[in-house]
Amino acid sequence: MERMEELENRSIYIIREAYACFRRPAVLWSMGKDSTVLIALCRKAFLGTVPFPVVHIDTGRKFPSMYAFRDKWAQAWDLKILVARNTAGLSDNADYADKLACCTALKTEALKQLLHDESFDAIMLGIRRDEHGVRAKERHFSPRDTDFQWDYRNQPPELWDLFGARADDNTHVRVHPLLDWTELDIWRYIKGENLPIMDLYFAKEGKRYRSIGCAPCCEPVSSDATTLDDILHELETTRIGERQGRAQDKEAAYAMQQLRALGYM
Amino acid sequence: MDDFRIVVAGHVDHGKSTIIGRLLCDTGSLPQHMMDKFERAGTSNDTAAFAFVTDQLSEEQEGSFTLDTAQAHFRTARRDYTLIDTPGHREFLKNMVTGATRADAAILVLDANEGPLPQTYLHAYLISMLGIGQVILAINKMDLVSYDRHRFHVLSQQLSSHLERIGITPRAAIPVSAQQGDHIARKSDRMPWNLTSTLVEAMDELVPQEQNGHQPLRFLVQCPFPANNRRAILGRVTSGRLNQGQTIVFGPGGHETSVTSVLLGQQEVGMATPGQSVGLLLEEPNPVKRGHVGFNVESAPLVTDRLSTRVFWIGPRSLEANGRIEVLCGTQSHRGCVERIAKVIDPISLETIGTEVAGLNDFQVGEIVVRTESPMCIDPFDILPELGRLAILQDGRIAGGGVIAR
Repeated sequence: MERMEELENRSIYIIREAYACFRRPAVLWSMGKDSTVLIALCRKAFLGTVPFPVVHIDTGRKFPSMYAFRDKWAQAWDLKILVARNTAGLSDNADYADKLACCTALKTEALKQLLHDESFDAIMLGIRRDEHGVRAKERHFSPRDTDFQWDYRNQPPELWDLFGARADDNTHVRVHPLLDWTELDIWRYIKGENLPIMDLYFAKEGKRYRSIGCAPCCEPVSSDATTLDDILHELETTRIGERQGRAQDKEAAYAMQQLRALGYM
Repeated sequence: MDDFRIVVAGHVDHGKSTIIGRLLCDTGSLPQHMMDKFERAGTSNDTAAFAFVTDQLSEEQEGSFTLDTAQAHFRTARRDYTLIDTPGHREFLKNMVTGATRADAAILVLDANEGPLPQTYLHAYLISMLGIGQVILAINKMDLVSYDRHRFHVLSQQLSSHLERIGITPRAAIPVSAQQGDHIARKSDRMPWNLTSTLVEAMDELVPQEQNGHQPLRFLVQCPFPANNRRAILGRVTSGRLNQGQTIVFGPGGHETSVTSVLLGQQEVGMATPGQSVGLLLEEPNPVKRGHVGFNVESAPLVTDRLSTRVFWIGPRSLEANGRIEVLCGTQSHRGCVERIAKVIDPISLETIGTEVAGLNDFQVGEIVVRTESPMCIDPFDILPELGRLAILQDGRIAGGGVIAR
């Protein structure tokens, strides 16, 4: 089996395991390239439908075009969208210069509230191992404790495709169907499946976004890639890390580890 | 373009992460910000810098040992690789096994100065037990033994003969220094006596495992799913071939039905091959549910409630004779009881160090018999691995693994 076919089939297997083994799963969609691939895989796994809620964590600081993209494809794909906002985090005058505090308030807290309100016991996310060294340490099924924390020192084993995943009371499990994918795999899949993708990823005036989150914390990279083929060519030759434009990754030593331990995605 | 997955195993501090760092560095596979880190570290001659590639948790970098498994990708002219880094510390064996169960091949790393130590043997034993037949020996830190040819030959022979006893014939033994970069991706003139190859060349010589399309059909059912007023059966073909129109039996239980449609996403595809996650429409009504296995009547799996299995134990508590457990096999999940712990095996001497014992402790390997509450479908691990391997749950968590012998 070719790599792309193997990745796709294994991810579908994992998504179906999450659906079959949990009482109330949901999938996170940021409209970025990875989670858009994840939504496409969910649709393929369930013969064209997504049989669980699709959660958008809206920090209120996203790029305007993301909302239009969300609404268009949510309708086309018949997705049950749930928007999670930490209204307390948005309204107070928190110091957004502190990236760690900002991500925690606007993303982690919003997710925490939603999980509590909706009592989801499994959340699927489009994170990949090659994005960040700390994400490389994740499992496909990763339990979070009652305080939402990731006990990375004591992760349960996964043997072959036997995940043994289950949620105890008041905990939830993070499910990572794209963990084995690389950035290049994502773009190859987008091209192969002809998936829609936001314009922000394509170069305008010599710059494009390689990774998209909140507008204030994303810096575009220098690039002339205006088509999918250009992006594939660029990634096959570049030596610049994918998340070099993401502020929270650079903040302090081990910021990503601290964020994730607190429940960040 | 296939992706070849190689687990890097061996005793703590023998240089697993450093070898991976060096492989990535010398094949130009690192992003620029990582290379900058290396260049800064290069002046202080700090091997930990290479390990920084996969050791990304603060504890790992500060303590300079690997705590949990990680993966890195790189490419040679021949093919793409995924390298799986594993911890060599005894306490993190469960993380090592988690990494190793996904590998096509293994590199067993040995410190030329220290020679084989307990985790070298335990990792070798697990590699053998997990069915990873292709192993390369990397005798590392040759710089610490003055690139001594004799030392290399003694160690590679010692370890090779041990591996032969557990059913592994090493594909190559390569003397390397990950820190100095000798014989990793580049030939080194410091070991002119090594006429074989570099580590990268030895990796390129490994052969991908055969796809099992000609083997008996196994279709693992994940769940039923409603589709246009029909009840689709979602699952994965793990071996053999599944065709539209064919008769199929689902066990345990033996319900015979026929496949009216094979769906990949929304598309009717007519057939499915190993590895494919598909949806089936069957003649209705049918009682097929999660945990069922689809097969052809002439090549059925064994259906039994008594499993004889070799196990490795990585749980926080001991596995107890008469203890309650749960067994996962494919998508099957059954409660059961440990009938007996027939043997405990010492992975270093390979001798049986106990028979009919009361418990199997953390990090021990042995042979047990399990009685499940209801029958399940199993196959021998070396023929059809997906139904020949088990996860054993204790207190609701995976605490051990097992393979079923022929």
